[in-house]
Amino acid sequence: MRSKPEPPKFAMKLLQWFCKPWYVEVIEGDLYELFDREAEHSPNVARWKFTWNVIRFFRWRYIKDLDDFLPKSPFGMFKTYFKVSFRNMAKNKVQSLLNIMGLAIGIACCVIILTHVSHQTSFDKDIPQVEDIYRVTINGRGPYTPAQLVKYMKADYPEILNGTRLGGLGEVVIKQGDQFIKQQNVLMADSTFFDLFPNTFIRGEAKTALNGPNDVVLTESMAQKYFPEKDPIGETIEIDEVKCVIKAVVKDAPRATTIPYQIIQSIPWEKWATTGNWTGNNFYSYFKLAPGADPEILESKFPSFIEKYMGDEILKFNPQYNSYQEFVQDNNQHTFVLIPMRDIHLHHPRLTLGTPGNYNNLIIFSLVALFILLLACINYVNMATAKSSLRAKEIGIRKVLGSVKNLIAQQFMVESFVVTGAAIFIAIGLTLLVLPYFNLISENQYEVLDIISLRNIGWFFVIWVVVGLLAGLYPASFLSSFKPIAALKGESKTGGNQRLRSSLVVLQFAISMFLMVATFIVYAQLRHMSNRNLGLDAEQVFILSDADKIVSKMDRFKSLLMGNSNISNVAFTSGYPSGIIADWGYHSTGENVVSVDPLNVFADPNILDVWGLELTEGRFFEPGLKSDSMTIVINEQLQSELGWKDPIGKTLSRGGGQDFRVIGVVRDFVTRSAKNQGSSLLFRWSSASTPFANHFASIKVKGNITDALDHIDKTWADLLPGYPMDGQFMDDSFQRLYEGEKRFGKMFTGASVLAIIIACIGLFSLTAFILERKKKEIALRKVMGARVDQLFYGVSRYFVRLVLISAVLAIPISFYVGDFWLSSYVDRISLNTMIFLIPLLLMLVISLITISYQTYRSAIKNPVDALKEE
Amino acid sequence: MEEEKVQLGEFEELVLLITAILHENAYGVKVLDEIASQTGRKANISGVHTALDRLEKKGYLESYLGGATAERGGRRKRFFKVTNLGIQVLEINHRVRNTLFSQIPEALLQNK
Repeated sequence: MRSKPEPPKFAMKLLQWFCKPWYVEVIEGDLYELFDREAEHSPNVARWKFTWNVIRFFRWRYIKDLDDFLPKSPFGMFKTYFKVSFRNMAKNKVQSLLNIMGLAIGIACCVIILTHVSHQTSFDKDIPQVEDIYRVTINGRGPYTPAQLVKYMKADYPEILNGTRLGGLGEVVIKQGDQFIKQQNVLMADSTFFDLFPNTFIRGEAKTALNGPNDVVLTESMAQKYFPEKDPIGETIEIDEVKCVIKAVVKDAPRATTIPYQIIQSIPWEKWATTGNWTGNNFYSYFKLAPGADPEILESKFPSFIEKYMGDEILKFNPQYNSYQEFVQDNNQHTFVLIPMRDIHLHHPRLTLGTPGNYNNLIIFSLVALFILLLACINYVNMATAKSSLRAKEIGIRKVLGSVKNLIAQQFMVESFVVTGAAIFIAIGLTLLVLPYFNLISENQYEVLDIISLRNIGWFFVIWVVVGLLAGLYPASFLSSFKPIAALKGESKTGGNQRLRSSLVVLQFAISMFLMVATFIVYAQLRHMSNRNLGLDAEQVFILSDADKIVSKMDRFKSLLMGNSNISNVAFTSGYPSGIIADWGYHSTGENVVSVDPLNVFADPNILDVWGLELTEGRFFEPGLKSDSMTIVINEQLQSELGWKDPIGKTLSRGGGQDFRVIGVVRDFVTRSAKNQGSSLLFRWSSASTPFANHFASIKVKGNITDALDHIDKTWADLLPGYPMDGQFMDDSFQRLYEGEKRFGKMFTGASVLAIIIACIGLFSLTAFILERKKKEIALRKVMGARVDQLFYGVSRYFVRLVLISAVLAIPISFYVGDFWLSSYVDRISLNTMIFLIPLLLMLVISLITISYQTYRSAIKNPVDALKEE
Repeated sequence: MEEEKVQLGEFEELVLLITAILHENAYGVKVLDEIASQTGRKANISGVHTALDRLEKKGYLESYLGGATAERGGRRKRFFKVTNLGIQVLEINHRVRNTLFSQIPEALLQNK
């Protein structure tokens, strides 16, 4: 007799492997029975069917879970912790939601700021050996350096491996066909540029990219813009009326760079290196030092370098000194300082070619984000301990059933981690939701992938652990120390340390108040800067750029413009207030030579009227009077710097026989942002043929502005067909100086609104808790005849006191910090009481509104409902 | 037990009925066979098990393990028994069906 057929072993093993042990026997038995029946006909078919049936049992219900794999681990216990956590959250839905939302807002804040910080600190970090690349500055501040510096320093010092000079980033006009296109971010660079700052070449190669005088390298997106259909290599492109040849195409510059170029134009190397003088600073100089070379040792060699190459020229401009030694001894600092490339973005914002970073702001916003997160954590702690009376029975029972303190603490830690975890997921959603607005305010281009980056996922985990611990530790240790008998008797109704909870609420309100006052200060200063007296008619002056393009038709341009009744006057200048004005060195003549560096404005005689300046002494340039060409008009500040009582007729010299006679004095007017001191300034006489003198046309507009602008536009187009017009009103240009402050103000507003929301969430739930505890008291009072408004007063008194205490804490700190922030402004507001009083009142109103809803509801309740319990 | 509280899938109801018919003799394979012989419907053993487990969880069935025999590779059987709740549910369903069926117009039934 043949032996009885057996079901396939592996199928049996499979079943035993995946199936819960409790089910295995019964399932196996049924499968066996079916198998035996089938095997009588065909053992093979029976085996197949057996296997198939095993596979069919692969259902969620029968598959082992973690309990079965780890039967002896504390996992089972954790499972109940989770279960209890979820049940508790479901029981107090509103509270849990508020709790999670508060945490989520705090975490979202942190995530955004973290993303911002990690972007801001990553600038230039991907340049190979960036730690050996240095920027040369004058005295650590002046960004421009002489043309010949790189060439001679590289030759004199072997530790300098390589160097490059850059210029820009500038705006050019590119001619394509008969179209003129304005192009930003054009960099001038030496052929060695790519040795220091390599980029990936899509076409062409680094060695030959910038060798010729008019070579151009395009980035990928620029190649796409100008040559969408053909290969740009070897094509010519007309930049500012010079024909240039495209030699290479490189990848777009990275986002986190201090040299955000789009087009690179070669510097005609030889010409500049041999003719550039040593006192004209026109280039940015970068060096790559040998690995391990000490920049300080190199810097210590610079004074002799300066004396050797620049000594003579310095003496020419400072004739009061007989030798270079004498010049140095008289405390005239003039040396080159090396600044590490990687410090430029955050620590030397004056040196960047791109948008400057701001280290202080970064620190401030990191702190604010942490504060907001702290507020949210405090909320959690407050609510968790406030709810303790509701949990007292649970804790008591657990303890009676043999749970020890640690296990109960674990329960509350798990709860805090569950809540924090949920908050993180919501926070990610919130972050993605507000990202476009954050980008708008902070002028960044963060994308979804910047938020959900690998690095951030690490941060999410860190936040989860830190916030989970921070929020959970106190409630866990507090709640787990309940005495079981007292808890079961209902004696532990104190609901935690009332004083602690109150002081946490005070802290929350103090932080919110601080942020609110800070916002008020920022905006008050902004308003002050926008409204300050400039000493100019800035609202009526339209500044036209690129005026040198029409300088040959200057008279025609002027008369055409003035033909319109809405335009009263036109003047050409080399610079304008709120824009960049170069300072030039002058010195007085005769005895007591004084060297000064006033802002130097070439101006035609009309400027006095166009800008609305006031002459305090002497006269201004006379139109058409050629003999005025060697005269100047100074402002009052320059007069006082020179110490002249009677300036008319005195002489200022540029050296080398260029002497100018002072014919007038104008009242001081504002030329720069409120951060800067007023500066000394002088006007030089100019005509259409004076070099550098006619970059801008100032047009005085009155009456119908739209009509005037149309007319300017039409006149420009008539005289320079195809060339884009570029202009702005001077007051707008002044406003643009404060864009950083406006951004700062907006971000602060956002932060303080969030802080207030979180604090209000905390207040809301605290009120609910306190009213719940005072239910009987309120009911009794009502029975005794108290009116609703009296009850309301009784409850809100407590909260008003908290707000007032927090104000006492917050106001001195915000006064101190605000004063510190304002100290960087020369023209600043003084901190008056209103700045502190308005936020305080706002805070009181907000908190009263927050508590009033619940207070009112419990005050109008029928007292019987509260008293009949028990 | 109210009518609207009865939650029973079509296959579950079938399994519940069969279990009631088999009375104390119902276990996986037996239920499977009975379904096949009474309705001609070919179910899978895993489906029957799932239905039985679900009905037990809903409280309509209860189960106990039988003794080991030489058959089935020595594995024990898990027998199912209908609970009082299960009986109520069956009654409710039966009543509802009958009430509904009785309202069908005579003409419709005769003209089929």
